[in-house]
Amino acid sequence: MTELIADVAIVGSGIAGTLIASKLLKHGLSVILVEAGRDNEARQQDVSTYLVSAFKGPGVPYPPERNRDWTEAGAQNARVIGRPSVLDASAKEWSDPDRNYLDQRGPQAFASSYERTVGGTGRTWLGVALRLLPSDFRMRSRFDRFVDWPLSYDDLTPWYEQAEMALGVAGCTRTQAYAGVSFSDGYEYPNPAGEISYLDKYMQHHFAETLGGRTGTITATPSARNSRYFDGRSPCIGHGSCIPICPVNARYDPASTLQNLKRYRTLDLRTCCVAHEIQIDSVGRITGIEAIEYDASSGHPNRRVRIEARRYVVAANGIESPRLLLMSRNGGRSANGIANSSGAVGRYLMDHPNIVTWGLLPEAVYPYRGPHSTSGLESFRDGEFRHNSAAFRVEIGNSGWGYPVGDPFITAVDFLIGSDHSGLNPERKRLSGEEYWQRLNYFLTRQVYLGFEIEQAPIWDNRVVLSEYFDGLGLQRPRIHYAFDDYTFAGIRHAREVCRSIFAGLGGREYTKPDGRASGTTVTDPETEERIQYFGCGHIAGTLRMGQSKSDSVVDATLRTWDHPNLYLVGSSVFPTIATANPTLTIAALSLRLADHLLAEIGG
Amino acid sequence: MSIAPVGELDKRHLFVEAGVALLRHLGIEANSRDLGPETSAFLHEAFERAQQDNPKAALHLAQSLIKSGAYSLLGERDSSGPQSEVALLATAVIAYLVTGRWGDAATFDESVSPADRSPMVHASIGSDRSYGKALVWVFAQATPVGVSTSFSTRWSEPPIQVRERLSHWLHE
Repeated sequence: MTELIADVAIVGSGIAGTLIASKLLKHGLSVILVEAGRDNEARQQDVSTYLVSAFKGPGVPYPPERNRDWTEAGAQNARVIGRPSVLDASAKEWSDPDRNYLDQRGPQAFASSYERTVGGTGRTWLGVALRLLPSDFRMRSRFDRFVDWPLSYDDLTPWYEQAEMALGVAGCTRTQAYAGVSFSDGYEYPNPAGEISYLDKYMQHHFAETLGGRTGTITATPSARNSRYFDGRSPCIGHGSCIPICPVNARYDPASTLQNLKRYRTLDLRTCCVAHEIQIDSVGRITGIEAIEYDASSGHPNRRVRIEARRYVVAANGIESPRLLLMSRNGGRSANGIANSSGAVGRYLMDHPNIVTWGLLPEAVYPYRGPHSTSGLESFRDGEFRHNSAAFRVEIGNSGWGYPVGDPFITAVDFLIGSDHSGLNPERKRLSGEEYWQRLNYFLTRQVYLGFEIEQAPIWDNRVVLSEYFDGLGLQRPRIHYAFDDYTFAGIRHAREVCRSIFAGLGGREYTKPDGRASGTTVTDPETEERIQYFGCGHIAGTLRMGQSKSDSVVDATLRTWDHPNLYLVGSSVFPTIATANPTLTIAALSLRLADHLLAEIGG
Repeated sequence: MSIAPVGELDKRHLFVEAGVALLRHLGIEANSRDLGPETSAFLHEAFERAQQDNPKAALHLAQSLIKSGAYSLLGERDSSGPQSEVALLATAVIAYLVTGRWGDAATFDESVSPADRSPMVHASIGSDRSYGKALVWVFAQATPVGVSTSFSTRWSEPPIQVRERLSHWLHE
């Protein structure tokens, strides 16, 4: 077994692991960064892979490719580490562990995916960089719901500012100062606000006009997409493919940061290296991490490595991090995994269920241009209703019906062959000539979609455990138990009401209909019996919750595990509640705060 | 299955003529001289792809285009009686030109009810060029997602008109 030694060992090279490594390296510490996936330096090749892929969703350009044979023989033959795909959750076989990486036990499908490659899921994010609201940290105190975070908005503010600088966030403090959000005196985002879309402007104008401002206004979304040359990266020129890849690197990508960090001789980046056991001594200190290295081409395991460090950080994601902790049985001395004296490891799994709605507006708004989303309706992120009903934010989508329907292609084919998969051709007409493309032009330029991203309640029974099914390296895969509770359903109902108001107010027409084939991600609201289809947001949270007590949480406010003094956990997995902001900026802020804590502890 | 070139005709010329016929089906008046090199190459690639995926039908299509003209051929699908393999392929080629995607027979087979036909979501994309130059982006006055074009910038303003985009498409 090969032994590796450094000041700090970090598992996971996503945004959290990369930002921590960056800060520690700059202060003279040595870092071993362990990444289960492969290195991936050829951006243009990734872009080409994306362009010729029929499916344009998350994960497309990156290895490992989606594997549909997870039988024992299939896993061994493939020798793959595996990962979920958003296509898995919507497939008819969503709960078949022989067909999917995740062993999903329902009753509902967990609809999000993640990447296992250098840069992690940070390679495939939209760039939305919203801060949490002050009240999001105080759900118990303000709304008598769930728990408070063990830190406040004010506590995190200095690191929000650092995170915004590190990611190159473009935004406007004036428009973001709502619902109690405040900024330090004289503070401005590092990039000026980016260009909003024609659709955004239309919505801003007509929303206020038709609804009389009763339910708020449309606000440009702060985003880690350059609005000018910044940090050696180009400004956004509107490819619209932030998820999964920005061809010009305008959207922050941790893989690019890692490329720059390779100049540090004190960085040991271990790719194709799967950590599978964190080892402890008799008093609970971490003594090392064992990992398997595999060949990038064949997938065959090469050798075992043992990593020793003064401090250990697990920064994988909300599913792989608890999986690693649960796999760390230490020959039975930690049979329930490590850091798990509370029993909370893997519990409280959350996401933002995305209730995607779509329709036509009465005028052309010219979607399919610019970034996927450039503004949102933030008015429902907070309010007294949170005593009883989940909050949500509304993402205004610039990509027409591409996300929910597969347009512009589906409508084009519908009017060519006389089908009606889009819902726009109920008479199943076949058109040709100018009539054909004028009809397409009419519909495609009026399409809008709204994504209602719901604050999901932290529920004890929503959890990640170890499956009896194995990956290509012989490691237990994750098993998922997942469902919505009444609080979450109440938020979904509220969102549906707001959606109907928006379309009515704008004089548009909603065309939302659940995909009958998406059995795992279609649920019936128990109160209204409405069939609702949801998507995942990739915001996997809660499974290593941060708290004020060892009895009901996994880490304290510094992100140190209660049970092991030299082990830290970071990512959205430590969020006690998920609130409504996309989590990346808060992950980045917590990561930079943790890096400062480690520097204070072990110097630099 | 390997298919020899059709007679002694220049294949590229054949494909371009076929493309013109297909454009006519879309109501776009064009002749081969109107097509710029990029568009010609795109059409060439489209037909190469057709030949790879359904070589027998592609050969029939090419021969028919020469013998009787594509326009009348494409009208065949509106006549009574069973749909011919050639007409099926013609529809597939139009769909390819419009969407950049090559669907399987289930997408276009009229013996299958429209509701059951493949919605073409996961149909294969011929190449990054077929994707980027798909006519549907022109009809949407939009930008191919992931592709930088001369129409990529200023998404806060209305795009140029669809007829102007069509003209660009033909000549670029």
